[in-house]
Amino acid sequence: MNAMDRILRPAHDSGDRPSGAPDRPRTMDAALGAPDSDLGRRNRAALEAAFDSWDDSPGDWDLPEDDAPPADDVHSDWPGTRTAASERASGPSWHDISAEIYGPPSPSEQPPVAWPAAEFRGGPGRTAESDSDAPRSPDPADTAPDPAERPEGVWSADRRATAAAPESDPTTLRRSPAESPEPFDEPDQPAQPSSVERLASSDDESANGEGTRYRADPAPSGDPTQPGDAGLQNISDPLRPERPPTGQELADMHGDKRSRSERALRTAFRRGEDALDATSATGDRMVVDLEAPSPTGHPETRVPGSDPAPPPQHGIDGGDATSALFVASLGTAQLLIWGRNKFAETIKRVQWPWQ
Amino acid sequence: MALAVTDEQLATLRALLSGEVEKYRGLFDRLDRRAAQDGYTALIAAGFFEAVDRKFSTGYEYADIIDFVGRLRAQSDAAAEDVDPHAAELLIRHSLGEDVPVDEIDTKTMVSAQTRVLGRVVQEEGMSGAELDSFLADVRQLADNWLGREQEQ
Repeated sequence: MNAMDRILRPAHDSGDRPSGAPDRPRTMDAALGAPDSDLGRRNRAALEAAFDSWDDSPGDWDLPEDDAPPADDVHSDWPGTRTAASERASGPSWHDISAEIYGPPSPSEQPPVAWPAAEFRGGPGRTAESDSDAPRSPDPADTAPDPAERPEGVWSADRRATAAAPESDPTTLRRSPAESPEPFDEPDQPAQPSSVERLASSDDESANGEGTRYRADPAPSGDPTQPGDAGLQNISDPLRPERPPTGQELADMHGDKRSRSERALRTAFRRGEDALDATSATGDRMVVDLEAPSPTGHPETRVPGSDPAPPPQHGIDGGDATSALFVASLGTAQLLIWGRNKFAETIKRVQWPWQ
Repeated sequence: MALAVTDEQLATLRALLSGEVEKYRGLFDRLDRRAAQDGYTALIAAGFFEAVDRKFSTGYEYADIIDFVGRLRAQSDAAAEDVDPHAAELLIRHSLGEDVPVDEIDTKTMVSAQTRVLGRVVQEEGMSGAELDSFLADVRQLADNWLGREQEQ
């Protein structure tokens, strides 16, 4: 038996129907519409398409199989796995829970016929048709009793109503625990700190200069399509700039400046002849620096043409001169030697006739 | 006689900070030196405090102070001679509330650094005439406060 069959079969077959809850067939027929009607066929087709496209992969619900919340957890109304969804689907429906809590609905509050399509809003089988056909859930503010009188479990209904609210109405999702008359009853979870508490704690962190201040903002930035608490917990945008200082903080800042001024007066205020001389000497030099106009520059004028610069003209360097002198000396010396030898030979030839 | 900043002293400091050389020198030469030993030096010290407060009180790191002093000393050779970098950094940090020793800085080094830092902050802030007047009004108020407290003691 697949999950579709488990949902559509009569609840009393499983034996887990809560006492006093209406019969499953009537509930499902009322929810999906009569099987032979157009609306009933369309709702059933959408539901079947949802389960056909559901492959049990963890990415379908963004939750691993092991992270499925326990069945008795008040947060477990959102399915982490197909198994959890099937188990819950076979249990009492939203209308059963609502009837137990609020009593039987008045005729004007009867759930619309296509209610289960909204039950799967945001789930893997969510289709445009189911979105467009899904009627709006009743406003919990209209149906819920005084929050102080809410029994445990109203939280689940409120969240479901919030998840089924139209996305074009962000005000529905801008509710934060701080705006509620009192925190929701969640005994297993610590109470969400209010915006004021969060600011106070962040101020403590900011005392070290490392903390990030959050600005109190009743409008959350959470993704309204996120299931569960994710859309409600992000009630502050950490990227918001620092809020302006409060009056008390301004008073503290002035107090801080006053104390710093007192310290400066005691230790960093020198007067007398020496101080005046130093001020005079420094002032004479400083006023010149301040008066000197900063270079304004001139607009750059480019000369047309891109002729390369001619090669540099080198003069006679020392090395070349030394080499030239050396060569000249050698040549001169050889010339002198040759000339002397020639002269000697000539003398001998001239003397020869007399010998 | 009550110690207080005079209009002449304030005009002298304004001429200094606005870079009016001749006016500054003329005004400074005409100052009553006896009174200026209290009033004008108080203006310089209070101006330094206010300037540092404007420049760094919204948040700073040591690197910001070091960078500022470096820019100040790089302005000219005379500025590099006037400003001892270590003393200037200590004075700025002390003015911002840090517990750093400034007692051992001699008077000439301290006053020179204070005067230069004051002038540099005004220059970097690019104050207009009205903003400079407003700034100097605050400085004068603080200096008068200091002088009054000094006289009480």
